[in-house]
Amino acid sequence: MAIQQQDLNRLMNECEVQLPGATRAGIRGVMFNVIDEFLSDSNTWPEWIPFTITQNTQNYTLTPAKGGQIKRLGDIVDQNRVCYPAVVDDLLPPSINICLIWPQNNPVAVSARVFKSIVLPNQHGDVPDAPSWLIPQYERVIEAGIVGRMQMHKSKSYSDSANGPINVKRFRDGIAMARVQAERAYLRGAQAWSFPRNFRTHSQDGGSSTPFPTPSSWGV
Amino acid sequence: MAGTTSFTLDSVESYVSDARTILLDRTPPYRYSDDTLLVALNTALLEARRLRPDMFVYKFGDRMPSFGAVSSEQVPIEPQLRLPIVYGLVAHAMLRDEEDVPVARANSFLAKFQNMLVGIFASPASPTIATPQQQQ
Repeated sequence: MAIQQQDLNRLMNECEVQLPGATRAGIRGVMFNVIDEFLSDSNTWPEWIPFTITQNTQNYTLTPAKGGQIKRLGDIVDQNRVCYPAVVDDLLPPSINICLIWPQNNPVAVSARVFKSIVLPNQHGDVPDAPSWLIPQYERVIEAGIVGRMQMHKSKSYSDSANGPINVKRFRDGIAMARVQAERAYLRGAQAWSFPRNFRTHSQDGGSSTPFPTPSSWGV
Repeated sequence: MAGTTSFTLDSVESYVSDARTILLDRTPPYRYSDDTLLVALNTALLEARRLRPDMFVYKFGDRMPSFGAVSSEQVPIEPQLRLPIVYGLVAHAMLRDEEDVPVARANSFLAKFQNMLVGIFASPASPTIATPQQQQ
């Protein structure tokens, strides 16, 4: 799950070439902030956490099983993809406390989709413990973020007040594109709209619409 | 120590050896003692931390490495920034010497040290100017 060594080496080399006099330790330090900003703002690192809602209990703690810290809650759905509304009560990195809006009369097995970012401690070699797909999928974005942030450092051999803002802009553009790609489940040509929230019964993932309030209203 | 040749600049020994080459002080008895050069090395590292904290903070936090003997102990500087440390070492050593090295040359090495850490272009070193006594 962690960043692969060959991906990391390539990213570090690309950054070092563009940042004369930068230290590898410094690049890795900035890399943490850049990856955190990318994952936090793009919602590209989801995890489904299964748990059971018990009778008359509305408060639960969700802890990610595959690394990272939870930044926000997406959906809570049961096996029929029926949504269970909830709010986040407390942030307890890497976990969150959630409160269901409505108590349930019967136990029900559900899964919560949460969106995560990286968390300390880093993996071996001060490398952020980020998902393995991050660099292959978004290398140019992460590279622009690292280079741009470092170029905007004051009084360093790699400071570049002209190109720094350009690279940071590329980074922010990349975050926006990644957020949309993740929203559309990495589908080409998926629809951009979603049915009004009050009428839908589950999420729009996969680009499929949910035009009816409930499956029973389909008349089948 | 004298006669030691190292191109890697990874140990205290190699830093002091390279500094002695620049200081024209490779033959015992030395004009600059080992202790003097160790103080200069430690001072150069402290100044490097002020100018480039990223060289140290990620590895050492608020601590700083310091060295008390000319040995094979590793100096934790990444390769691309080792030469400025040599120049900083030389500059601090020269600044303490009031006999035959003009302060201008020490200042030029100090400027090279600082420019290489915070700028892209290294300033040229001043030529050694003979003192009035040497000119006679």
